Amino acid sequence: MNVEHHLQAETLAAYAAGSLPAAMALVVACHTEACAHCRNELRHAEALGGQMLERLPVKPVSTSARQAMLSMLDNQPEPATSPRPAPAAQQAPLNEGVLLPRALKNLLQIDHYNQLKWRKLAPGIEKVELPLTEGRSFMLRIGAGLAMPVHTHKASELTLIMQGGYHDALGSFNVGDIADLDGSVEHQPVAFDDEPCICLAGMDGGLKFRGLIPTLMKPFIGL
Amino acid sequence: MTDSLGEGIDPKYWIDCMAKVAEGRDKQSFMALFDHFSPRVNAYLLGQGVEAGMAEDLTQEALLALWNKAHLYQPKKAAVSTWLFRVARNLWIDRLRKQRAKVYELEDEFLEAGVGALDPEEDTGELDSDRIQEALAALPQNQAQVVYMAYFEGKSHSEIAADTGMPLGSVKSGLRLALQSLRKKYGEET
Repeated sequence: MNVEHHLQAETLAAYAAGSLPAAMALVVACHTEACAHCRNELRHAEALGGQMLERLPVKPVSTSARQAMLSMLDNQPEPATSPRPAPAAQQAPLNEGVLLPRALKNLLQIDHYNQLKWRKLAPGIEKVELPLTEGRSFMLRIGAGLAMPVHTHKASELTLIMQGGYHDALGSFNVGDIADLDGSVEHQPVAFDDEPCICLAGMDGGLKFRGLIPTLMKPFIGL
Repeated sequence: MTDSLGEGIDPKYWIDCMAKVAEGRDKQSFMALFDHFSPRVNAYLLGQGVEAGMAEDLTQEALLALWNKAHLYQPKKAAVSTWLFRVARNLWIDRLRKQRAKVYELEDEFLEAGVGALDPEEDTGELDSDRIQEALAALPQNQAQVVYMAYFEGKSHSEIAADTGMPLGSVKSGLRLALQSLRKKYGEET
């Protein structure tokens, strides 16, 4: 797969940090499964998390917890002697349809594209709303050559091309490409002429904010 | 070995400890890892808003994973601190952000051969921690703040914007610039 449009570094950092809303994290997971470049960037963002873990001001656990830990060690099952086998090959018999990315399979508890329950949104446009309420996520199937309505983004939006492709003012997006856009972008994607375009979108929004008091003064210095 | 500084310890030392745990079920090496990392994992979890009792339980759980899965650990793939960071992150997500847990790669999948493997040319486990720490210390205040809030308060970009009053675009560009300068810094050696 020749991916031309990748995730932004800050999106990968948010995913690595665990701070990306579920709806967007889903799209990142589906993209990184297939994109070696972003997977590699993600490993770096996680390595940064590891390094920062080293720099945190320590908060020791209680001595009883330490003691409990020690005594737990004896009660652990012996680990398997060899690493577990790799998961079954990701090839399904052709007649069962094309496999969904792992994160979508986990979320929907189905394996193949042909098990998706599409609902008609407009002539030539169908949609599957995904069961995530932290942000919003859905899949769209747009008929060949059709245009989506012009839209802007209130917050952040990730769109992954899963089949076919589209073009808009930002360029051409093919299978595997991701559009990592923020609120300032207005665009009108038009599906390629030769086949329907299936894409997965995830957006921020509808989030409850955890703390209302500005944490501007957090003591990062000396961290 | 209860070090409160933690700096200056060669990451290779922890890799060595992991090998001893994997091969010999060596409790002394494990407790060295425990004494170094548990106060940090605990601090991380507390920073994510995990309540103190649960933070301690999850810290134990994270370290126990290290005991039970040491044989799956691959130093080429990630530093011990990075692996623990992932384990701790997945634990708090699982408890406090259930929806996110559904779409994150499971720890076992990460450990399985082939999944998420690094480019063989890359070697994250060997990243020079001193250099990264230097780079972190050199970040401008606002970038450092954004990195801190994203990584240690688990806040989304919009939440950071709401909390600080910074425009969303500035939050993102701050994070991007910070990552760029960090990448640049630790890319220099390769």
